[in-house]
Amino acid sequence: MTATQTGTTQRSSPELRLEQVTAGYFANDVVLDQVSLRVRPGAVTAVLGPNGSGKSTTLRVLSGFLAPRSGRVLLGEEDITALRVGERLHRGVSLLPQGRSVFPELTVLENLRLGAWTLRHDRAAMNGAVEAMLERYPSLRAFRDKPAGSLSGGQARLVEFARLLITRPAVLLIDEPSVGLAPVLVDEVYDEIIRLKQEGRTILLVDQNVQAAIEIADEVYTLAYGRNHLEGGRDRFEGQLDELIRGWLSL
Amino acid sequence: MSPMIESSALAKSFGGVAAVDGVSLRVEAATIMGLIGPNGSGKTTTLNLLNGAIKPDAGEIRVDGVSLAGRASSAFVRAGVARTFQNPRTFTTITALDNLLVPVLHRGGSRRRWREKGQELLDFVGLGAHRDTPASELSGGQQKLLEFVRALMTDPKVVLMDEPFAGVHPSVKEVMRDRIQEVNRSGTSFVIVSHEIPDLTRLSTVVVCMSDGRVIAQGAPDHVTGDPAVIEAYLGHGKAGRGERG
Amino acid sequence: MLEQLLQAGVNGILLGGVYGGFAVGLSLILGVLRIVNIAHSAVLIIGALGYWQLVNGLGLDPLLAIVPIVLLGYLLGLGVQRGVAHYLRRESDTTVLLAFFGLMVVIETIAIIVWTTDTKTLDLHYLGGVLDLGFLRVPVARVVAAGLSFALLVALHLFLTRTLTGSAIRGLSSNRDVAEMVGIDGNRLSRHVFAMSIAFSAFGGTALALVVPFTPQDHLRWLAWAFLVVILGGLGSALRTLVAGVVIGVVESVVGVLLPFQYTYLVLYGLLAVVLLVRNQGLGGLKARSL
Repeated sequence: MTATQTGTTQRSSPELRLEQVTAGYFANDVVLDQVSLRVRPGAVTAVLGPNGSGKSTTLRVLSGFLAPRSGRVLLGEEDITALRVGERLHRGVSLLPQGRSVFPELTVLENLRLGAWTLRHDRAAMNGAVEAMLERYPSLRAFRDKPAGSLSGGQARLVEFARLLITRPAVLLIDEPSVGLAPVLVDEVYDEIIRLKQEGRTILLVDQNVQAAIEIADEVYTLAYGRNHLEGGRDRFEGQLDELIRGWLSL
Repeated sequence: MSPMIESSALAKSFGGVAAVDGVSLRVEAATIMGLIGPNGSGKTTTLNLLNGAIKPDAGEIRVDGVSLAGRASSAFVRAGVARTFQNPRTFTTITALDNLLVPVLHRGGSRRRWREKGQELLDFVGLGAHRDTPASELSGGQQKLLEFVRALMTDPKVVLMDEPFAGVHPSVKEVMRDRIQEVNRSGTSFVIVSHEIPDLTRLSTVVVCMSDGRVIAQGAPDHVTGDPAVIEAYLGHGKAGRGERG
Repeated sequence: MLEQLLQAGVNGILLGGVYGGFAVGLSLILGVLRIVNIAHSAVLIIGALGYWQLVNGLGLDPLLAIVPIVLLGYLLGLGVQRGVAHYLRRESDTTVLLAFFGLMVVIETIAIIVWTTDTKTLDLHYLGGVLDLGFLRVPVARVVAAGLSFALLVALHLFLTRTLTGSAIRGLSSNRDVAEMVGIDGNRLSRHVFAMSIAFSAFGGTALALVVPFTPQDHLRWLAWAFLVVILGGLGSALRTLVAGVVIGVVESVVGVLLPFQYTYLVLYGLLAVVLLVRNQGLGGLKARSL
């Protein structure tokens, strides 16, 4: 399969960084407190932590849905803190949100075409991108005209992956990919993330499924109460997961 | 003495997925039960079932001995079950005191006495000075405290609380914790869902852990948080077919 | 009797087309932007009056005069959106409702000041007269109004279902956060949907003017009628709005033949009650979803 057919990224991926970010949702609310992290290309960086530790908020700041009160978001050398969601997508930063995020009333094909919205001025490129996704996930062809709301959890997840990758983003932000999926499908999801890593992309994975995330992560950050807690390579954490969880349960 | 609230073999599915799969709980009088478990384990659905917000597909719910499964949530309230929410659902367009009057509007008794009780409860959580403030002007933490005392207006037997400590200032958390304990001492039971596990375990007299819709551990707080099955649940499922963890 | 029923049926279909035509603006703004546009009927009236002014006052061709009215409607929509609706996005529903009510009052008052409350009848020029098919007689203007409405609704349907922008609009109304996530500029698209719906409402005014005499104060009755069509048809589909309009038109006309006229409203609202009970979703699921 050629690179175009599988939808791999041609350019080398940039590094994504959070630098001392403080963020919150309401006036005096501090959800992230001086958090820093570095997401390297060609690797999976996992962000773990108990509920309420700020994992989802980290993704909201990285994707552009939440502006930080202080600190920066850097893509390569560029400061993208002020860029909105759509502008970050143009720079190759794409988000796979938690839960169901397909447009339920639209067909699978329409969902994909909207995923390629930023390519709409070049119809040939858009059609090519859609075709590339159908090649990458051939089972999508079978239900391309079905409303996305009628799909099973696993099928919808496939559509969401296809939509995530259709613009060939170099940087992927993935939020709790296994929640609500049957165990067999969970394996497929993590296998796909490994494949994406092998394609050289920069991947940030936020997950509460500590076991599965550690198995595929290269770098691990943990957060606690909105602050950086631990960080290190996978080997630092493997074999100490029990301790890690015990720590969270009694922090 | 019958428990304040108990469920047996409670079950609820949404779209073919079992959110709650055979949950049996007993909440005795003057107990604080902490309910923990990873995301998607069925904690909030369990709370929703226990206050009648949703109807179970199977199973029994008894409040002080009276069977209530399948009844409307107003029946649960009348039986003595009160509820607070993760995102406080105060009535934003009316004052703090008026918020407290809403649950008792239909009951008899003098308005003046209800207002007095409302003022007492506001003082109880330090909101006494805000009784004429529209609820929308209160901070998030203050709204959570308001919702808490609104639940107390009806002298409930058991209060179900969903993430009472989430996103609030530490000082508010302290007030909330102290007041819960004070109310508990006078006999009221609590079932509290929280992901702030250390805080919850300090507060609770018994802890229940759920995973995948089932209860996997229950008992004394330290016992449960050290239970290997609980650690396992929080670890999540690794790759199927991979045997030992490192 | 059969002839009467046939006449009523055809009348009903034509009228129904017009009902669909003047309700679709409301359906669009309610379904996509979740804005209860109480001022919808005021726009209908201004459209009708402006149209009347061009045709009766300036002697313009009644078919051509529709175009500037629709364009002005679009521009008015853009203006109102920038000036008012944009700020209202974060306000409570009550505030939005009040704001549009206020807008309605302002527009109605301006209309009365400029055009007085005298009944206006459109000078139909060459659209006057009646098509006489022997067993059927229909006013030409009514056929034209209905024809244009049908065409517009079908065009809107095709736009929403066959074009990428149409998909984007449907996606935006379904999940705004996800729409932003794929790069859709929600604010810009909302602005144009708002303007489109005002333009449709303005068109609705011209269709009405072609079919009945009117005064500025009639608009409240039309508002109720527009909501009836929208509720019956559900939101989010131009075709369903058209079908609902036609159903209402036919029921109204046929009932008018069979029963004393007082029963028309009873039957229509009874039909609405039955449909709502059966469908069990009232205004077609207005809950907004987000990430």
